[in-house]
Amino acid sequence: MIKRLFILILGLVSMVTVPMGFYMSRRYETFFHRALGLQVDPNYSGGTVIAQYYDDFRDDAGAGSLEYPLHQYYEEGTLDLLKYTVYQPLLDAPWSEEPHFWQLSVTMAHFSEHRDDLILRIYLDFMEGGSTSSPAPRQELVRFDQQHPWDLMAEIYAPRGQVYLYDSTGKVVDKIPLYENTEEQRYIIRLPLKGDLEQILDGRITYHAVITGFYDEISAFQPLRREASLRNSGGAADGRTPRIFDMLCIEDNSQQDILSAANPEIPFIPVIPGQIAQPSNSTYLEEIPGPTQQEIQAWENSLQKDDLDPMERGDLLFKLGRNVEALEYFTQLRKEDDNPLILAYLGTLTAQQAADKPVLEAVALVNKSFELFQEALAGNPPPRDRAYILIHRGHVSRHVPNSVFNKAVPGAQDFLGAAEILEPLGQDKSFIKELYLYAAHCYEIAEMEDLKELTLLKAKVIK
Amino acid sequence: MKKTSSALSIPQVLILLAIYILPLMFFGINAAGSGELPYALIYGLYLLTLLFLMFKTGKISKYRRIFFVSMALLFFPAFIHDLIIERGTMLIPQSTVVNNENPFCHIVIPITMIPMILKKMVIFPGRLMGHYTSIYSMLVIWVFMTISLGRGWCSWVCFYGGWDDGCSRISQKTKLHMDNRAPWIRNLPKAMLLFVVLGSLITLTSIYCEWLCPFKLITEFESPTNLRNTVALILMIVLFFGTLIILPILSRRRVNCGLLCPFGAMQGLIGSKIAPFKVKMDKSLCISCGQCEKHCPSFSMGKNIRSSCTLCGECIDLCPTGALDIHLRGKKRIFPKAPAFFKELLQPRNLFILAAFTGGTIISYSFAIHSLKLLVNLF
Ligand code: SF4
Ligand code: SF4
Ligand code: SF4
Repeated sequence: MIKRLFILILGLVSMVTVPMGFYMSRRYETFFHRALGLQVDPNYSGGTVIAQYYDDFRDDAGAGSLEYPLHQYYEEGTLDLLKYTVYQPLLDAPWSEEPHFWQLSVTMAHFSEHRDDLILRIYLDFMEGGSTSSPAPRQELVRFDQQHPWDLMAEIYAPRGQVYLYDSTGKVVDKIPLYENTEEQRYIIRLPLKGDLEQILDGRITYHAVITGFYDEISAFQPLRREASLRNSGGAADGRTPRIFDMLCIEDNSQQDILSAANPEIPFIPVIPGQIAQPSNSTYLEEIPGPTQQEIQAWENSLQKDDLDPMERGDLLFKLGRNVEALEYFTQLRKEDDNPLILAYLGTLTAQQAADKPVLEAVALVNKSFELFQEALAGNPPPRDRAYILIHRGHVSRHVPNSVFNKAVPGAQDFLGAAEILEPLGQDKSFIKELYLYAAHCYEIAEMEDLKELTLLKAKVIK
Repeated sequence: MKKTSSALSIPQVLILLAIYILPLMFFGINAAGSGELPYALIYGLYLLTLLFLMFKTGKISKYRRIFFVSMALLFFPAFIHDLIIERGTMLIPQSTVVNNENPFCHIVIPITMIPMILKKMVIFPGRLMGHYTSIYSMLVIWVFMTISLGRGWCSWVCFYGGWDDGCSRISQKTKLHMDNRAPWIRNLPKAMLLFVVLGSLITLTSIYCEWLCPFKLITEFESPTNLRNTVALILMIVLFFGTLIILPILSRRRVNCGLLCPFGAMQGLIGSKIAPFKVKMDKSLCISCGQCEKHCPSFSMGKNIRSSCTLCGECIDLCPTGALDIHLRGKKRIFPKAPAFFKELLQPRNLFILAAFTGGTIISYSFAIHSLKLLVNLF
């Protein structure tokens, strides 16, 4: 009887489940999202985001004094940049009319229905040469960073749903569609990867400047007046006031300083582009300082000393990147000394040899390198040495392809393990912070965004 | 042995209709947009009539098919109309792809499943949340439906299936024999599933949507501006007319749903294991007349009933001895010793019909009334 009752309940529950499924479908979306954490494959959404920059809210007044035209048509925030996103360039993107492209997007504070008068320009420096002035002189009344003259400018002109691409001579070289995401208040552009732009595929650093203003048929950027009128913007100090209402301002640059720094002799002022590393978004690694020229010189000098400790000599050769010598040296040293650290150096140097070897040979070398680390750890080294061995192994794990060796997560654990050992031993805080940053990078490689963010947060609090 | 009638008495039918009317009213009123209430009422009455006839006559398949075909026919006018209002075209505009706004239909689920599990990535340019065609919304509906109906989805809920289901009954005679027991027929659905799943996994693109879906012709498709899209368009037209219309008419089988649709194959493999309702055969009653095998539109009847059974009810209605019926966890009657009134009322087939018909009702309500309004305005 109980079994039959159970079956009846099952039947009734099945009946209820059907409408429940529909009723819950929208309500359970967030719950499911939390549980599953799905994302649309970046191949469909324009590529992995490699950099995101945030600009201040409500700073669409140039240096602070500019005003929108008075007509209600010019809605507040239409020129206010909020976020600029750079994506990893995509090749053979599915469902895309343009198979190879580089996506950039700009999020605005307000997506007015009347955005016909908006003009938004993205200046890109990605090669040698280029220009430091606007396509036609005096449009924005700014001058571009001499260090980073622009090579390509994308002009977003919303009403035509078009983006015009200019080369550094000011010639329109292409016209591409403008995509708008009204819900997210975003303009999206997909720069076709052809011609010079193909060069960015080598992962170089590119420089970007993003500016907004009101459009004018004659001069592209609407001239400013002292007083705003129904159709004209105002707040200009004089005829040299830059016609830029908002610009992407990051790092230590102040929009106010830049846009109010007009020099009476030079009517143009510099726009300083944001530096965007590509293709990795691991900009946090840039916090880790490389050796200075003086340090390198000091290492070279030390190496000349005759009374140098053998381990120290090997370490100097290693740090100076004299890998062949270092490998020979440590191989020899291993015969005379059973210090497990020697195995760690040998492990790293062996893995480094794999870089220019054919696949099978490279795999064998990397495997051998991990065996050496294992042997080093098995030798029961003192804590500090143990930490250094872990760091060596962590770096190798970070550099070998994760898709082949699956070492990114163990790599992160090695860095964190080393930090845990070294911290109580009074190790320099900045060094501990570096270990956290490397661990975050390992998590990034393993595509474990949450752990990466958490580790970066931990790194941040180490002062 | 002669079959006992499954027809219910009027009080029994009324009780079942009273249960059905709750979700009908709730979802019906919810689905009706401005000025659509009369159409919602008409559609509601139509559904009530079909369900009434189904219970009253004890014939499942005929009224189910009328419902299922109406649903398929009412789906595309509303869908296309909305597309044209929103985008001005049936072609998929690039802005929809760029903004990841393509509607996510249930057939995409098996294709995208493995990358979802392995990489937490959806290899489809659809929106994740916030729309009734979004990815999570469809996943939730699918999970709940599969738990209850299993592959019953493919004869009661899917808004595409009515095409080949309807066409499979246009002709009285089978002009093209497709042998139910042929190994290639038995294995083709699984092979197709494997092919599209692995193909999508390797290419990280939903190859079924791009190349093999016949329903794009009545929904949305990519502009044939290049060779690739032109080939895809030709293939889609051939598949639409071939597998949904011509072959079903000639073979009296649901060629697309029974052999080619990856979602159907997946429901056969997973859904039929999970769901509590199944069509079972009482071998002691079977006289091996072969009616069920001959008429099963889904290639599901061989020596045994296969997991691909869509619970359409065709064989149940045709079996002269009553050897076939819908069972709940192996039971044909939940309380065999209960008074006849309750025994018949609570028999699994009634519970299943209520559940499945409710599913179809809810999924179709919004587009059906929208289409009805459009059609009335057209004439
Ligand atoms: S087999 Fe596919 S198209 Fe046919 S009814 Fe099932 S899900 Fe719909
Ligand atoms: S076995 Fe019967 S219920 Fe199942 S699909 Fe075939 S005809 Fe329909
Ligand atoms: S229809 Fe099928 S189950 Fe019924 S008697 Fe004939 S062969 Fe047997």
